[in-house]
Amino acid sequence: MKAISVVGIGKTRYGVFKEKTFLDLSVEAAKRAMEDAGIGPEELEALYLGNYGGSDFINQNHLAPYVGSALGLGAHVPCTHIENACASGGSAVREGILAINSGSARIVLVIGVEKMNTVPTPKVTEFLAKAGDWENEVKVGYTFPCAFAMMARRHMHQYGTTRKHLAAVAVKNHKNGLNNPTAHMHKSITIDQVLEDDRIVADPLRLYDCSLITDGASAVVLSEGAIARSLSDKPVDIVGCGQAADHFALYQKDDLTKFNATVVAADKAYSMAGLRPRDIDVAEVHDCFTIAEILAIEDLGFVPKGQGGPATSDGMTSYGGKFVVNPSGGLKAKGHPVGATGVDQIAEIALQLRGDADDRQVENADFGLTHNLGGSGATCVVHILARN
Amino acid sequence: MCSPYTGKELNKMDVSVRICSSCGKFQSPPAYFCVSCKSDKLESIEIPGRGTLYTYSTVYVPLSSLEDEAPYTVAIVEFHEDFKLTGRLISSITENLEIGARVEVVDVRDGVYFFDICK
Repeated sequence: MKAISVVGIGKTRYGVFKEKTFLDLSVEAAKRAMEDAGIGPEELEALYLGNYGGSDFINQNHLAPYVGSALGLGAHVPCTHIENACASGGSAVREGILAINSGSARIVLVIGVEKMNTVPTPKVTEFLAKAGDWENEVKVGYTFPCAFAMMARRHMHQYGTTRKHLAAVAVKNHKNGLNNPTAHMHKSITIDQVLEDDRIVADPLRLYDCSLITDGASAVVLSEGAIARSLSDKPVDIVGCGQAADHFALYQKDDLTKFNATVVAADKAYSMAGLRPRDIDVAEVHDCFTIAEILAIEDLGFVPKGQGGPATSDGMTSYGGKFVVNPSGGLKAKGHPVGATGVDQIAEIALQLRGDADDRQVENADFGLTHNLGGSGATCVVHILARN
Repeated sequence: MCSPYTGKELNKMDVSVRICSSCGKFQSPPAYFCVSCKSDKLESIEIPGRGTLYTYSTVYVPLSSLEDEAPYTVAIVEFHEDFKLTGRLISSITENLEIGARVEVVDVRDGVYFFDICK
């Protein structure tokens, strides 16, 4: 693969923004990323847009040129929308990398965006459930909290994971989110609060085990490595990229305590980068539910299978631990505007490797990893980034 | 109830499964190519709708279309080591419910399997 760099980063604040439109959010993130790269729209050669539910949440399709037009992009700039459920953003970043790698573009803008707070929660739940198999699981009453709850129950059964282990993920990520000014939630919580909250979403998962329904956008400008230094004083290189697939429906998997797509995508990314799991200093992983972070750190090879819960409880993934997982607060506290998440993970790791992460800076970080999961694991995208 | 593949009337206790004609592997639906040998020669057979509870969750925040029915319990039942289905338990009372419990299909409504714990 050609050298590819992140040369611009832009994020909106994440939260509930009734007054901001889909375009407002998309353009705000894009402008910040272009300003950071010191370029204008006229220098872009392609746009990739990660979005999951625009046709449901805002009754709009043909989303990439919808945003491209608002940015004033010229007729020569192809605009392409990527929908891969919760991995839409990571998949869009990968398409941007492939476009540069193919030689069809040198500077690419990737935007991830979702405006979700347009309908009541049961309707949001239903829109999100469409990322599952409608005929064979959703019609039954299956929701995504239910999917991850069923995985959590299997993990508890096979490995002795406890609700207290799950709670440790939530407490850590809420603590990290306190230092992220763009996070949706700035709220410190305790293990007991997570365990004792009486709002059950899908047993055994309760309110604090779940990520948030968030509006927001994040963007990155990617360039050929050869011109990165002319665009940015602190480019960050993307040195590994892997995408993988798996059975579409949850019940089709042999083992509900592991995501094969994560294992395969990570293998591809590690071998492209020539790195091993122990080389990673900081990671943004897909903690849509607390159990998902435990599965992720196991499937990415950071800890042995079954050890994700105890490792989190013991502080291995906290600041001061072996490596830091979800310094941004993760989907849990930063929020999960579905299509934006995978792009924000790249933006966050790039900030960390530039040394620009302020109060949440991970010390001496040379290599970072992003892990973006779609559906019940039918898509996974892993990227590895390195300080230039 | 009818088989989703053959349209044939099923015995109430049966479920329809596809099996690879080449290697004999069972496939969880929907299946068009064998997950193991990639053959597209799959045949449908009916097997008794009795299996074990693989995992489950009681849903309190439901889909908007099922708000009147919450809380309800979704379960994945294993009928064979390579063949699982998602369905609903007919009772939402899950006290004393354990993974591995014997479960049977008791109804199919609008393509949704309903399971009950074997008495």
